[in-house]
Amino acid sequence: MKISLVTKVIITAVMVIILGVMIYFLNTQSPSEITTEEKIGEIHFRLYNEDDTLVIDDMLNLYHDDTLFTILNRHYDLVCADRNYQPDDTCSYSFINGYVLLGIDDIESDWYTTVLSIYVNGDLAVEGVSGIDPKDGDVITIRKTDYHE
Amino acid sequence: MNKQIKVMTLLALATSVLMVQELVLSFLPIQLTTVLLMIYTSVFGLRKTMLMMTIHVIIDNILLGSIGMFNIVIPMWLAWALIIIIFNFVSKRSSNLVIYMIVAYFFGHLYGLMFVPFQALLLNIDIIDYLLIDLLWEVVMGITNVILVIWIYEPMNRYLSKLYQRYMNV
Repeated sequence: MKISLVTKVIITAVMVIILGVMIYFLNTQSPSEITTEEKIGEIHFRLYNEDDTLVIDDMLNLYHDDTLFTILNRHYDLVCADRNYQPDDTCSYSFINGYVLLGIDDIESDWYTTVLSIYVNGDLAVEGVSGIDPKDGDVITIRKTDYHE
Repeated sequence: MNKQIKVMTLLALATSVLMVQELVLSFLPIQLTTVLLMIYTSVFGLRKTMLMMTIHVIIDNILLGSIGMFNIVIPMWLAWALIIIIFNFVSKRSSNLVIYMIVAYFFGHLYGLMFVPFQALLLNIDIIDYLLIDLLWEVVMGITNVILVIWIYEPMNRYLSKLYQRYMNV
């Protein structure tokens, strides 16, 4: 069955509109600036090393539009993956679904054998640092673990 | 020229096209991989396309550092393999572009769904949460596939078929 050019254009236009809406909702790019005038809550952040040593145990302020990435970026030196999954301490590259976190202060994953696993209130997160929108009182734990653990 | 050398050169070139387009488009949620594999299946056949896809999966995972991560490599290979096998079956029975569009849309879901059991079981992630988050990305891939099939499939398939026949007959 042949499809006319007009039909192709109409189908494409409809698809592009749907795609635009989908990408808008899927956009997990962290906002570049967070207004830190009015605190909306606090999160409890814990970072564990691979030998299960507690390295960081802080209460961090939560502001409007904060993602886990923006909160961590405000307080610690982060290392993110660049487009080739190599460490980049400027976190200048964000994937379509956000940043890939490789390191916080001195705790760094090499991506190949170790990973920074994120837990929200004890449950392993299904999204990355840019996709997690913490709520007041959340306990966020990051553990450096062997990949297959 | 020896026919085997010609085939090997062709496979290398076609595989590099698969790789390069993925790297070039990595900043967008759009890839030509599905539609290219559909075209390759139609033009080069099932076996050659499976071989190209396997090389592509290996190189892709080496570049991304995920070659040792079986929860990524295995479902990726399985998904692409199923897409090629299904399209080989469909294209031998129909040349209807509408059917190709529908099939291409479902390839978006097939690709995403293939990762679910591996991610959920190996990483101990809640399967329903993962499914819900991934569903939107599957729709994005499906819609992209449809748009690309509408505009690229027929002209590129025709062009590549002619080129392939001429190349193999020289």
